[in-house]
Amino acid sequence: MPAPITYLTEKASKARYWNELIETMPRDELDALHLKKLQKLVAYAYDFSPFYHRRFDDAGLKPGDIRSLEDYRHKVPLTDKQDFIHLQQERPPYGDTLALPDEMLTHHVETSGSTGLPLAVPYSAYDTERVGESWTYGLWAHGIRPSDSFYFAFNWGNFAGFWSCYFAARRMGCRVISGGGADSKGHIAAIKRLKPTVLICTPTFALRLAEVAKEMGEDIQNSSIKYTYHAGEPGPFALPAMKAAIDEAWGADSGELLGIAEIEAFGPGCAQRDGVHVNEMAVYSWSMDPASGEETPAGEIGENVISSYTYSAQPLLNYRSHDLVRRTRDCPCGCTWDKFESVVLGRTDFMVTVRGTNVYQTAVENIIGEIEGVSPFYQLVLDHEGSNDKMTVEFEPDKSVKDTDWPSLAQEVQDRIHKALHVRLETKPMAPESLPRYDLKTKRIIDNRPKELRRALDR
Amino acid sequence: MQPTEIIEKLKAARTLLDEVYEGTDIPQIQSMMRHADMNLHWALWNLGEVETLRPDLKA
Repeated sequence: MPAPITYLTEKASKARYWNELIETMPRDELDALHLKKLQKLVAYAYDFSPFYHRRFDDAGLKPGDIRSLEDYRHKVPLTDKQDFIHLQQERPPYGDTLALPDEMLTHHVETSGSTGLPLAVPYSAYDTERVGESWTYGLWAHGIRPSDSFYFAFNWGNFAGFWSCYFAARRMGCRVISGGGADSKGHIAAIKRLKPTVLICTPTFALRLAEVAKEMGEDIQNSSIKYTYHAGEPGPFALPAMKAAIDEAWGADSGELLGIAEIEAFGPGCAQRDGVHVNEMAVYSWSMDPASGEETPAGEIGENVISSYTYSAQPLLNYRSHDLVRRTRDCPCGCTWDKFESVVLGRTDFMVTVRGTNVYQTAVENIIGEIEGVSPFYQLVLDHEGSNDKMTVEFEPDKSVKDTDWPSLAQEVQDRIHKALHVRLETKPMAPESLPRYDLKTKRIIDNRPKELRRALDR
Repeated sequence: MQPTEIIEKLKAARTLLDEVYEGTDIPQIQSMMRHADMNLHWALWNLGEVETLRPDLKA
């Protein structure tokens, strides 16, 4: 018998990193590479995209003006989702934002529209090759190898969702099993029958599937699933309580990637399991004080402003993500790429000021996740009374909590939020399993405020 | 193999692919060369060898 055919050599499959050379590259070398890449990116956008050509001309900027990373941060105009949505609406489907002719486009996806209208996102073939690559660093660091098989509890529609992970799984040589078209019971049945080792879905959907399996009498704690990996919502690396819940429900090791549908799946994860590294081969990312526009230093919270090297069909340069992050360096995992501690801490546009206190969705979520007897399903209901915004936390007590104990649990939720955030929010227990469940992006904020009182992106 | 040697070989492979792409009118073979070249360009990018943003752009 000849030696069995393998995807990677034995030595390569035992490597600690997907690509050690670049994942452990010293900061000065990474920054020198960034400058080189950004100069190429600026020239490309100026030469091929009518949108950027106009933008740069308006700002009096020529590609040759970028001689340092500081030049790039300050001289290249900031872009925002609204810029692109506006142009796409004026001249569907893409406006004049493309840098490539139609014949070079091979795939169309869209953002979820969770903060307004969906943004159309065209990919070239080369973009799809590279867009998926970010996942591979995190999946590899998590222990996933070519012998693993992926089950996608995902419907493969136009929503960008987990398409990038599909490209990554194939790149790693893993088997892909589609859950397209199946309902929750169908997913559980398929997992039992086909025995995948990796579950891909949003974190809340992983918990929902675990609930359904329990109802079906299926033991998924001892199923074939060894790993679960998530994106789309605050997940296991952002919320320790979420990690504990998913790991216990599935008897698996859960992980998380941070992506922005229109940019990249750019934050692959981290072997430390407490945040995500930024894939610095694929993007350039810096933190900005949203009020002053100045760079915020490492360790302080700022808005992630990001540029993609891998997305050449509709380039995004100095793009405001509206995600608030705390950027750190010197991670014990050995990766030198910037890291977002606890992933995304909040959204500049999902921040609500309640009686003078800024309240972020994830801050409330973190607190809820730590309280015994409270399920991970909750929603924040925003109303406007008098001249103030009001936030009500609707949460589900676990089934094991008697309804006579709900008022004291609501009091505890309120007290814990008050202690941590210095604001007293109304809390309302809801019957178990009464709050909506979502397959993809979970809608946590129900905004009943008049439209004119909401921030632009929430309208 | 050291990174410099890998880079050298990847560049040589791109040159060979380009010769095949230019030398044939068979759509299937041209398409295959395009795909192979994307991977070589991406490998070079990931080894810090930055010449152009896309493989189909001339430096």
